[in-house]
Amino acid sequence: MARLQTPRAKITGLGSAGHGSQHFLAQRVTALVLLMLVPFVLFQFLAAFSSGYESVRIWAGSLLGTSTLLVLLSAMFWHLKLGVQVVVEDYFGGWVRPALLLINFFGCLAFWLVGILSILKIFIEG
Amino acid sequence: MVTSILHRLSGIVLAGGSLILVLWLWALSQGEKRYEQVMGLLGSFPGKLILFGFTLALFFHLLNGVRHLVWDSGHGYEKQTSNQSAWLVMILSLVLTLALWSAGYWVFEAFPGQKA
Amino acid sequence: MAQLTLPKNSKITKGKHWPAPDGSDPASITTFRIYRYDPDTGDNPRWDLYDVDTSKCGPMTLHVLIYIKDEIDPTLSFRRSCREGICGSCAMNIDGRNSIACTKGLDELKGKGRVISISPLPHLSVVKDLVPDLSDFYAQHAAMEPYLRTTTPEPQKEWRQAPEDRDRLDGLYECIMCASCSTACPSYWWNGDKYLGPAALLQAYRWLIDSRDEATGERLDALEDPFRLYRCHTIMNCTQVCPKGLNPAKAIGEIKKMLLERLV
Repeated sequence: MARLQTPRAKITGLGSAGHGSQHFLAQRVTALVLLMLVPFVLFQFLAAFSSGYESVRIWAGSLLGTSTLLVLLSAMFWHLKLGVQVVVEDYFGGWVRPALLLINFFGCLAFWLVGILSILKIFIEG
Repeated sequence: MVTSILHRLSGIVLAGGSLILVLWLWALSQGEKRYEQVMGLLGSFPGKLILFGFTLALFFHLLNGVRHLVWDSGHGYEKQTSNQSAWLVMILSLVLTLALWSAGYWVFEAFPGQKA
Repeated sequence: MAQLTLPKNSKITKGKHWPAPDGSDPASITTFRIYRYDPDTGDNPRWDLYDVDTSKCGPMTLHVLIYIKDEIDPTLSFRRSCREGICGSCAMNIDGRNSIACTKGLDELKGKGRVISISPLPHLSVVKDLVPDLSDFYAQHAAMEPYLRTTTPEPQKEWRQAPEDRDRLDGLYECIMCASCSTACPSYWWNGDKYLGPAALLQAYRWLIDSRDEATGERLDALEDPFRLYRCHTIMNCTQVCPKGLNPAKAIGEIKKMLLERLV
């Protein structure tokens, strides 16, 4: 059934949400962090692939390696969560939207935790 | 519009890539045996193909991300400029990907079996 | 929400072919494939083919449409008024790109002997043939309150503005509201009920930076929303198609900058 609603009423809808800029800003700040870290980490990974398990552990367990990986993973999953959220909001409506947004949030949280705990384990074991 | 679609596509691809990174970190924390298993998977032909795809997606997303940051600072919106930067990003991401893999092969000798 | 397939009653079928009269010069014939739809008949939309002798009409796409309506098929509907790129009525999708028919030269439609498709602006409901329903588009513009908002008592003569401040409105006030940009934007296609679209946002920016306006904060409040403004992903289609050479993408970027300036 077509609703008898003026175009203005339809466009105004529920009004402005009052947020959105924070999301935009966080996306850009995490992007900047990744922009600085990714080239460095790529270089480290190349070196890691060429050397064996022991030397990779030593790098990942060092103060520099651990902190780099911690920041990288955190910025990465935050950026990822924000990005996938936008994609979901663009293409999905109805009940699918909140469902996918929850999966996105908890998925990112879970994988971020696995990564962080792995890094910390390596750091503590030395 | 093409770069916008590719930015989104490469972003989704990289979401998958981040899971591989977590898998690799987890394996590294679990000891040498697990690590060698995962490295064996990544070093196999399909593994390398997937990693190559991720590298390309990463460089494209990174460079096009810079393009977005420049836009957000208020520059580069002109029709011609944005078309040129689109081509620059596409070409440069391909060049950097090939450069990285060449460096991996010749400089770092990071391919399995290159170092006995 | 993204809708990638057309509903059953919107699938476009093959329509009639209107050949050129005998004895016309085949070298000056161009075939135009035009979207035809009349909701009153209950039939699906169709593509009609018109072979037009372009030496018999003016140099612009609008001339072809007028020629078709006058000489070939009077049932064809389209909007037009000023025929000189100032009213924005004849916006439509010409050869795969949104534009206004009156300033789109036939010589710009490259490739001789190629069939040129003309359809209404994408992703709007169609009133008839090339006439789309722009009610929501106009409501979005109205929601931007495109007029001076002040609380200071009206001055005796006029609201004064420095020449430099007036210069900032160049490239914004020229918008003719043809809707080419908004209907070229994928974000507007998928979320046109919530996303305001480049045309409305360009107007919003025009009033945001008007030095005489006293409602800048309230205007920004109304835009602080994940959908209304931030569905813009700088896809750049708006700037690519604007028949007046304006830059809605840049205007939207400037709004985002204003919001950030307020935030940090």
